Amino acid sequence: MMRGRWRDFLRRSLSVSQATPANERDSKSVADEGRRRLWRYRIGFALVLILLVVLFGISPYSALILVVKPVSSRSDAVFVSNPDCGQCYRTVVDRWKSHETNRVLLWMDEHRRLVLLGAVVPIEERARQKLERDGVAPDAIKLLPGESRCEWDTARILVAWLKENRDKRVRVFCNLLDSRRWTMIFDRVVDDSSRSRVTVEGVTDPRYDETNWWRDRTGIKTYFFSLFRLSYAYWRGEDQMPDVDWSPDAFESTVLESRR
Amino acid sequence: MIGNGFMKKRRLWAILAILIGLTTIGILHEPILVAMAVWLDVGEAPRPADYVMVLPGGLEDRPFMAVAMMRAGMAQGVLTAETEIDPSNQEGMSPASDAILQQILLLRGIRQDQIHVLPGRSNSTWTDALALRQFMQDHSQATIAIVTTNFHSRRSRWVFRRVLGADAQRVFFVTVPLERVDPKSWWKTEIGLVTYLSEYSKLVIYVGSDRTTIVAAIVVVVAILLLSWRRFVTSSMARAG
Repeated sequence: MMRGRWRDFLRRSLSVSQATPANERDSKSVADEGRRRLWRYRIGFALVLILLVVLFGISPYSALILVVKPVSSRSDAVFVSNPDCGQCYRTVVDRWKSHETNRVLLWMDEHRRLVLLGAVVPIEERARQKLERDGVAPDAIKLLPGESRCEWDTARILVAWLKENRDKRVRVFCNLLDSRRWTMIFDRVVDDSSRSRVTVEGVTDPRYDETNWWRDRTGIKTYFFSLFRLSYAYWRGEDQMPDVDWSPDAFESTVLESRR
Repeated sequence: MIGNGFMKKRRLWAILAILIGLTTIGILHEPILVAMAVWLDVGEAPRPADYVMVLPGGLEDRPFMAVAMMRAGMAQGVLTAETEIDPSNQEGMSPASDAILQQILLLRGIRQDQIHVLPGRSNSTWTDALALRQFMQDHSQATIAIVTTNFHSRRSRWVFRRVLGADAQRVFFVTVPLERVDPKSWWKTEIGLVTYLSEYSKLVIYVGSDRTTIVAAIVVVVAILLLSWRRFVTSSMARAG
């Protein structure tokens, strides 16, 4: 019974969609229907396109655009661009121990609130302590002059070293998902004659990589951060960092008042 | 001919509507973006509570609000969640977040006995709320001011309400501004853009993975499919006969 009803319905539907005899419909309504169908196709196409873009955005493979694979080349020195990348320092120690490099370059991050307050040790000091603790010779570690307020400053500190050491090559270690952005920053900051002396190498986090980042909380966070930061760096480039005068007493009194 | 004219007119109206929409967005993008930032901030004016809880993260801003409230006599103790040890902590590159927070509080004059670290190795806002739930069960009358950064407060409130249930009435949120990011121009700096876009992404993920939201979404999708199917059948019947 049901099957018969379905067959009947399908037959009637097909008879409409397949045959549109001119004697049953006037040319006006046929033309209107054609136009409507065209618009439906256009809207459908746009929706499919949007869906594909969204699917690519959340697909595992989208992280590949954040990653640059390094070319294998000799490096005289190594440099960690992400100061909080613990794995990067481990890689530095491994390279030093395997004699793939004989110089570790450190840079000074802007001393912000927590350092000024004495709550944490400056990152360059923590890095030095870590490297020495893990067996890197103290005289192989060099703190580059200058203070960095942003990543572009960090790249410029390295550029100054490259100018003083015209025959040296350097390998820059950073978080894997930040390697495209760091490559872009160096492309813009380092002049063409020196660019080939800088190699960016992304270091894989033990918890995730570019093929399984969505399985880890930190991986998801890092992915979105890296994606937004790469987009910003690509479209807008460098930000001007405003000066922030800070004293804990003044901050504590104003922060309370400002929220009342 | 009439049908053709009608279609042309409709198309013109559609194009006009799109143009008006785009122009409106172009003119009003600034108020819209500001409203997006303001919407995320559900902070209330600081007022007395038994405890002030500092959510992990935002160490350059949040602890100082807690200290200010303690100094103003608005709370008798500071709560914070024990945080998960990450690879950077393991490598000895940085102390754990809860250790730094305690250090800041001590340096700013809060006594050790006024600091309570809630156990649980927290690694998210959700686990922060779970840590507080246990504390609130043990302190059934305690009121708590939760300090977080302005952009983070809406998601936090959403999470805490879900985790704490009826006990959520005993908590309120106090927010601090994010350094170097003005909510009135957040999209003009990298840190602002990354912070607010990430926060909206997290909000979508949190709300999207909630059971209530999933059920509601399924109901809506099924309703749309049923309505479309009904419309399709009706129009097919009408054409056929």
